[in-house]
Amino acid sequence: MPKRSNEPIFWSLFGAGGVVAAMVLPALVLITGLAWPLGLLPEAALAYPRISEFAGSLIGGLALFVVISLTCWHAAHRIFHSLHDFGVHRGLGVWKVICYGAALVGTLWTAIQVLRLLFA
Amino acid sequence: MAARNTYVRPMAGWYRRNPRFTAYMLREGSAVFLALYALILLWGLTALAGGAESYQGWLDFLSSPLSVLLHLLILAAAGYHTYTWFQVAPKATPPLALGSRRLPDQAIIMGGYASFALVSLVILIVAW
Repeated sequence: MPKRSNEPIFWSLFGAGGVVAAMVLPALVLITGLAWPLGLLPEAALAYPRISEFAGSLIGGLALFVVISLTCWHAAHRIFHSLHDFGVHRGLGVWKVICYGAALVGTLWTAIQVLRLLFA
Repeated sequence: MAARNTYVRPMAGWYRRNPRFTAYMLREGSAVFLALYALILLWGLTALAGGAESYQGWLDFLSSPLSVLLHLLILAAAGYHTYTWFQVAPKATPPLALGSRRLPDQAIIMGGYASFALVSLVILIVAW
């Protein structure tokens, strides 16, 4: 059997992550990074009881898992393919393991935290 | 074997030569900031799983001036990602038919922006 490229798998994750990031990240960054710290949102918006209830629910945990892990895969793919543009031409095999390995670690780590919250 | 004397065009700073190259590099560079935000969220999630006290530590970080400045940059990168992502969407979408006509590129782009606006609105309302 001819050796098949694994690129479609990584591209699919990149594409899915790109869509998710494009849809939700600006609003999320605005809320957690700017509006809440600057006092434009009610103090209780990010309060512990509220957020732990959300993240500990099946839907909330799943949403956080999808957003964090797919953003990791999206960014890893883009950074890996940009190395060439920054003059990195050697050792791409190692870089591929580093980039996608980091995304895999991020995915597993997220899954563990979501499960911890779900069964807390 | 004699050393080759071929002229090799220098590539240093190539992305500053053409505004399109610069835009391309900014688009690809947005990934670094998206990755950073994913890590910040993951940190928050981990702190949350650790209990109220460690979660408060994450909130304290979010309130620091450095974090606000950083998130300003991240918001710019995320906004640019959204803009460019839907701009190229027609090239990545399989041809969609509307009756016997192909769905125009502009409709796909606008559909993307409209869904982005709707999703953002829902997130902001839920968060409030």
